[in-house]
Amino acid sequence: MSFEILADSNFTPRPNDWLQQGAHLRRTVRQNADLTAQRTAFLSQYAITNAHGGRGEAHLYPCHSPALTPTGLNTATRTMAQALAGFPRYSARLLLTFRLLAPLLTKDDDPFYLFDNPARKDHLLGLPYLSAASVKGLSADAYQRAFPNAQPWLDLGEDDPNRTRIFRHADPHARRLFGIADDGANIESEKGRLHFAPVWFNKLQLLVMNPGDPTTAMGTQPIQFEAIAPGQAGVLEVVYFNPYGVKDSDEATVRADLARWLAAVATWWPALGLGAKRLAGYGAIQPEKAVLHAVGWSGMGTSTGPSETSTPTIPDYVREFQNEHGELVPESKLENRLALPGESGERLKTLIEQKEQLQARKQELQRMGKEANRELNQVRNNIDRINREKEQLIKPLEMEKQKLRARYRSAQTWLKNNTPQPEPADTTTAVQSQLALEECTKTGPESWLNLAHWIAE
Amino acid sequence: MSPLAALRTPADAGGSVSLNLRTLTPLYTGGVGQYGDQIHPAGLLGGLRRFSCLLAAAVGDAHFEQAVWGAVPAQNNPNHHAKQVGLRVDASGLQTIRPVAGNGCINWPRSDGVNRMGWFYNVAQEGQLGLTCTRRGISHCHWQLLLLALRIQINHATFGAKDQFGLGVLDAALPPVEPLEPLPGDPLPNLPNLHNAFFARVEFGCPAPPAWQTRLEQGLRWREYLRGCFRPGNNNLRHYLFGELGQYGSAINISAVYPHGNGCALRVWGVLPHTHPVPAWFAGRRATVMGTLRAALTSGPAGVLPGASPPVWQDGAAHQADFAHWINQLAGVTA
Repeated sequence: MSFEILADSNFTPRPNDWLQQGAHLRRTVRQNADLTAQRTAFLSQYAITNAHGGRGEAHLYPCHSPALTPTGLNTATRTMAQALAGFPRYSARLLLTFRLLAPLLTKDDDPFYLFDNPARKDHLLGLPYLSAASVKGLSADAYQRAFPNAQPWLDLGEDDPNRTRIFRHADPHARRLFGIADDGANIESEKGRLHFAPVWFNKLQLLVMNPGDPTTAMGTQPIQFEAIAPGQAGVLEVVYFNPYGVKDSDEATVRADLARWLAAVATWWPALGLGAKRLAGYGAIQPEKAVLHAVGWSGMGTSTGPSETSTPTIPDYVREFQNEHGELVPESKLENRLALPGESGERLKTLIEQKEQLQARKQELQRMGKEANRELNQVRNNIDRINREKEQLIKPLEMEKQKLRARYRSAQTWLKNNTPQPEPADTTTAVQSQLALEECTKTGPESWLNLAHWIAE
Repeated sequence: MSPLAALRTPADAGGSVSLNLRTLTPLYTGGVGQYGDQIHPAGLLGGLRRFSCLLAAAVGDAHFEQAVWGAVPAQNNPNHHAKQVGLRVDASGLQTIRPVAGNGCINWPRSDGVNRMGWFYNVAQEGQLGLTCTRRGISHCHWQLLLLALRIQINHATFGAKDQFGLGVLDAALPPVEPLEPLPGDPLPNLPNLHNAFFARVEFGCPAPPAWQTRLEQGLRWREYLRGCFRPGNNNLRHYLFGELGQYGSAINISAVYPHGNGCALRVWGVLPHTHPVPAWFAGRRATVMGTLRAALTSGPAGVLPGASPPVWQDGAAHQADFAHWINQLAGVTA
C-alpha cells in the first residue's frame, strides 16, 4: 500500500486512517532526521489517545473491512458444507479459536513503511493477519517438540532443511501432515495433507521497546513495533485432505495424524506463543474453542454430546436455489428474490411512479409544440434527476444481483458434478458426495487438547 | 496404543514454571505513550534477564546470558541462537489503575525551598499476573540459576519500570529450586553482579495506608531522604546512585509501602556499581556509600509512618566467604 501512495503525488489520505496517514507521512521523508520527526508526529496523532506532549494511552487502530464475509478471504467463516463438500472420505477440518493475551508480532516486508517493523497486512485491504506459512511453520515446530525423534534435533543433520527431512522420513505422521520439501536437494518432494489458512485480525497498535545501555543503565533509542493488539480472538482453519483410496488413508490413520497435530499445538502453542519474539512473551494465546468437521467419521453421532450437529453434504449456496423437490429454480425467477428493503424500497416505488407521470406529461408537452418548451425542459430535468436518484438506489441492488447470479451458476455446476449416482461396487472411490458431514465442538482453555484426545480414542 | 502415548509436554521436556504473581505495589512496563495501560512482556523480560545475569555473573558463569537469553546474529558471534527459555505473560487478571495517584502527580514542598516538578504516575496495573517460564534447551544448572534468581527477585527486589519510584513489588508462591552449591569460580570481572547487591527492608507496626497515593508518597519521602544524604555536592555520586535524566539510570530502588505481615514495609535494593564499565571516580567508594545508606535507613526521615523497626539489611559484600549460603537464604531455600 505504501508504495502506491508514495508514487501518487495527488493522493489524499482519509482522516484517521492509520495506514494511509502513515504512508502519506512517509512520502515526505528524505533523510533519517525527517523520519524521526514524522514518526513522532504519527505517534502523537494516531497511535496515542489524547496525546499531551507525546504521552497518553495507546490507541488501537481498527481495520474495518467488508471482506471478512463467508465468501471473502476469511475461509474460517465458511460453513462446514462450503468447506468440505466433495472432499474425500475421512477428510476433516479444524477450527481453533484462541484469544491473544499479548501483542502479536508478524513482521511484514514493506521497505517504504513509516516504521521499521510493520505488522503483516493484506496488500489491498490492509487487514492484519498471521500468514498460513507462519502457521504451518509454528505447528511443525510444535510437532517436533511434542513428538521428538529419538536423536536430538541437532544430531539429525547438518542444517535445518536436512534435519526436517530426516525427521519427517522417520515419522510417518509428520510426513503425511506436513509433506517433504526437496529444498533443492534433488529428492522426490511430497505434498502434506494439512492445508493451512491465514488467521485474520482487525486491530493494530504500536509498541515501543527501548534496549538498555550498560554504560549508563538507561534506555537507548526507542524502537517502534507495529503489532496485532491483544484481547482479540482469532480463528485458525486447518483442513486435512485425505486422499481416500491410497495407502494410509483409512479412518484410524487420519484420526491419529490429526490427533497428534492438534495435541502438539494444544500443548506447545499456549506455552511458547505465536509470531515473532514469542519467547519474549509476545503472541501468547489462550485456547477457547475447538471445532472438528469430518467427512464420514465413525462415532461422531454418539460420542460428542449435545454440542454436535449433523448437516447434509449439499452446500448452502446450492440449497439456496433448490425447490422442495431438490430441483434448481429457473434463473428467470431470481429477479423476484431481490427487492430494496424498507424506506429505500418505498422511495424507489415513489420515484418510478413520479417518472411515469413525468413521462406522460412529457409526451403531452411534446405534442403541444414550441410554446411548451420551457415546461418540457423542466420535465426533462426532473426525469434526469429521478434517473440519477434511482441509479444510486439500485446500484447496491445490482451488485447483489451479480453475486446472486454467480452463486446460482456455482450451484448449477455443483449439482451437475454431484448428481447422485448409484453406489459403485468398488467402495474405494475417492470422492463420495453422499458422506455425512459431522461436527464436534469442545470449549474452554483445555478444549484443543480435549478434542485431540477425543479424536485419538 | 494411543497415538498420543508419546506426547511430550513442556513439563516433560525439562520443566515449566507457572507463577501467579500478585502486585503489592502497582506494576508498570511503559508503553508507546509512556502510559502503563497494558503490560508489555519486554518490560518484564528485561528485568528478569538482568537480575538472572547478576546472579550468573556472581557465580562466574560466563555462558549463562547467551545460553539462556540467546544472542542476535552478529559477525563476531556465529553461534547466535534464540532464547532457550520461553516466557508467557497473562495479564488478564490485572486491572488498570488510572490515575495511580491523585491527579497523576505526587509532590510536596522541598525543605530547601527549591522548586520541584514532583513524581508523575499516570496509569499502572494491579491484581494477578500469570508468568510462565518454559525451559527449552538450557542445562539443568542454568535452569536452577534462573529459578534461584526469580525467587530472590520476588522476595527482595522489584519488576518492571519506575521501580526506583516505588512500583513493581510482586509476590507469589515460589517455584521449587535446588540450593546453590558452593561456588567453583570467582565472579566475572567488571560486570555488575549480586556480590555488589544490597537488599534492605524497613518494617512498620501499622497497617499499610489504604490509598496508593499515600503508599507511594511514603516511599518517595524515604527516597528523597536517602538522596538528600548525599548532599550537598556529590552531584556525580548522587546522580549515579539515584539516577539523573540523560546521565544515569538509578542504581537504587525504593518501593512504595506495601502490606507485610500484620503491618507494612518498604524495600530498598540495588546493585553498586550498576554500570559496565564502572566510572573511575566511583572506585573505592562503595563501602562508604553502603555505610551512609544503612545509617540513614536506621534513623529515617520525618513525615513518614511511625514505628519503623531497624532495617533488615543484607549486603553481598559482607557475604563473600559464604556467598552460596547467602544466596540460598535470599531465595528462601535455606533458613
